[in-house]
Amino acid sequence: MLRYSYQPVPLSGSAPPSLPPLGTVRWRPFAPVTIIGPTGVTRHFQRALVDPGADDTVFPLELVERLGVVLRPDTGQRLRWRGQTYPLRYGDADLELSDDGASCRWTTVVCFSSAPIRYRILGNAGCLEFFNVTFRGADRTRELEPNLSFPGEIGPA
Amino acid sequence: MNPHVTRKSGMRLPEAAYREYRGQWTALSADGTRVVAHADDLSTLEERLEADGQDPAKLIFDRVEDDDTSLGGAELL
Repeated sequence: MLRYSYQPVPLSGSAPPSLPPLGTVRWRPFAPVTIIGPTGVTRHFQRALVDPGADDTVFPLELVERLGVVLRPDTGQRLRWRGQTYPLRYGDADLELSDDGASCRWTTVVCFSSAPIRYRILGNAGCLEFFNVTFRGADRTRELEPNLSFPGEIGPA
Repeated sequence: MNPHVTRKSGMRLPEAAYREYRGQWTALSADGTRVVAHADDLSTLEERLEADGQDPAKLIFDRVEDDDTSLGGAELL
């Protein structure tokens, strides 16, 4: 099982009414993730948002060439981000999630987008479908346990 | 597993990243404590690392938030 703490993100301005009046941070459920291309080139991102509301697992399109990912044919998927439309492209890559004790690596279909999305997104297809995820809001922790559909390898960190 | 970078679950962005690099992509040292390079976009950041002779596989990438509210996948509309 992988366990992660929510991470504090400092506010740049005053706290909104949904936070304590003297609040200075947002707590967000990030996980560090490594993406590995077919030739073994890797890029490690400190923070990807664990987001069960996201359909896909999304990384910057700029990574495709660096990682040597071969994009699948364009099937016309698009997303609208802040009023602008961006194409979504898909390709095969390995993803690796690890915490202080364990590591999970699997091959999957990753979405790549040129939209200036705030975070890398660990969404349902390609990632969360393979885990049972528990969000412990009071503790600000979450747990990801590979489920029976997990297609990869589990090992030590 | 990528043996080059520290991946402790509690790692946080350095304070300096929030002070100086909001809205930018950053490359952090392998232990996550120091900003090695920064740029407005990921491609430019990679080019700068390449010019500096840095191995991107041994660094940690992150983009610093430029605003305070994230609605996750709900924003994709």
